[in-house]
Amino acid sequence: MNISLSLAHLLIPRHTNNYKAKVLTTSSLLSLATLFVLVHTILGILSAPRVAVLGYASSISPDKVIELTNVQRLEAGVGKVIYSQELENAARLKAEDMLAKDYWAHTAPDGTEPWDFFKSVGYVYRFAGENLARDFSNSESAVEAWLASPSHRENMLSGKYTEIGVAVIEGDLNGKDTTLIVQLFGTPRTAAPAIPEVAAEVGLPSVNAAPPVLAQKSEPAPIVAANSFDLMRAFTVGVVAILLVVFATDVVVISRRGITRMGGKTLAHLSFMVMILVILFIVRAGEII
Amino acid sequence: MNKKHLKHLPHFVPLLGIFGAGILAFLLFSYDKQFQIGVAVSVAAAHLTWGIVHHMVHGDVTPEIILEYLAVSVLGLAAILSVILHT
Repeated sequence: MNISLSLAHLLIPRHTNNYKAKVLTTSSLLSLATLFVLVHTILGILSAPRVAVLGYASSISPDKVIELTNVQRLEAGVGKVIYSQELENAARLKAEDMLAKDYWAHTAPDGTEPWDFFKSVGYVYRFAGENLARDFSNSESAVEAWLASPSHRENMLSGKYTEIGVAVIEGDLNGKDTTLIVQLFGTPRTAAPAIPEVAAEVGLPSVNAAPPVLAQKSEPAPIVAANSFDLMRAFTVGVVAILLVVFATDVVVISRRGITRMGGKTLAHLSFMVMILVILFIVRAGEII
Repeated sequence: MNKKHLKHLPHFVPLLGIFGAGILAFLLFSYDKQFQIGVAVSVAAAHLTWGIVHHMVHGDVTPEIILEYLAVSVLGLAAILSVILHT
């Protein structure tokens, strides 16, 4: 009984809380904001490489990234890019370099440029491009993010490129367990530009060979547990959803009982929280550059 | 809708427009974390500013009311940033 009264005091406008749910008072709202920061910090610590209580939920495969890229290229009317072992090696070197030197950028702090990795594996290019992604949970969401960005999309769908190499590497980047995806595009100096699928069908030389399946290419590590991004989002969505219900209850109760109250417009707060909830559903893990 | 509600309508339309634009910005720039952070800060600031202006126009602005809008804005901002910055 006491619990239900306490919950009512906390969540419903009534005489015990001066007709304003306790959770909607300024101090309670600021406490909840602090709670978000605390949970964010704790989950960050638990998922840190040295602690690693939380598992890593990444299921990204280089083959899948290449396959999805080619699907998009065909839809855009440009030829497929073929798998290049050299480009994959260059992509792996780039990813390892980022982990070793703790940076997240196209150019390393010591000035090493993406093109240096092409050269280091002996890939003499006519055209070259690089897309980077981190912390995506699957190949599809990384490719979708690249497609949503005009500059990355241009790289993915450019007819200038004939070859592709992708590396997916997990490691500690700036103290955080991270999955890096390096996608390199290139056209060897001797090669002709990519030929659209339509042209290939009428007998022109085709560069649309499917990427070979490598016998030694292993699948990514199995999913260990939900990653901390999903946990953080689930927690935040839960709290915001409860607040939405409390704000909505406040609007209905105050309106029905005709109570006049000095304070902010609950309807404004309610619409703000609706926006927050929608945004929380839109936001996704991962970052591209 | 009664007269009391109609009186507030010209204020609520731009507020809802700002929130709609915020959602649209997150959808269109889903690949740009820095931009999303900027949008989150902007909509939180817009909510606070709207509250102050709205209550000033109606002549009932008080420090407590400003604090209430500030608390809701900070809460919303903390909710978004704690998720965005968790990637």
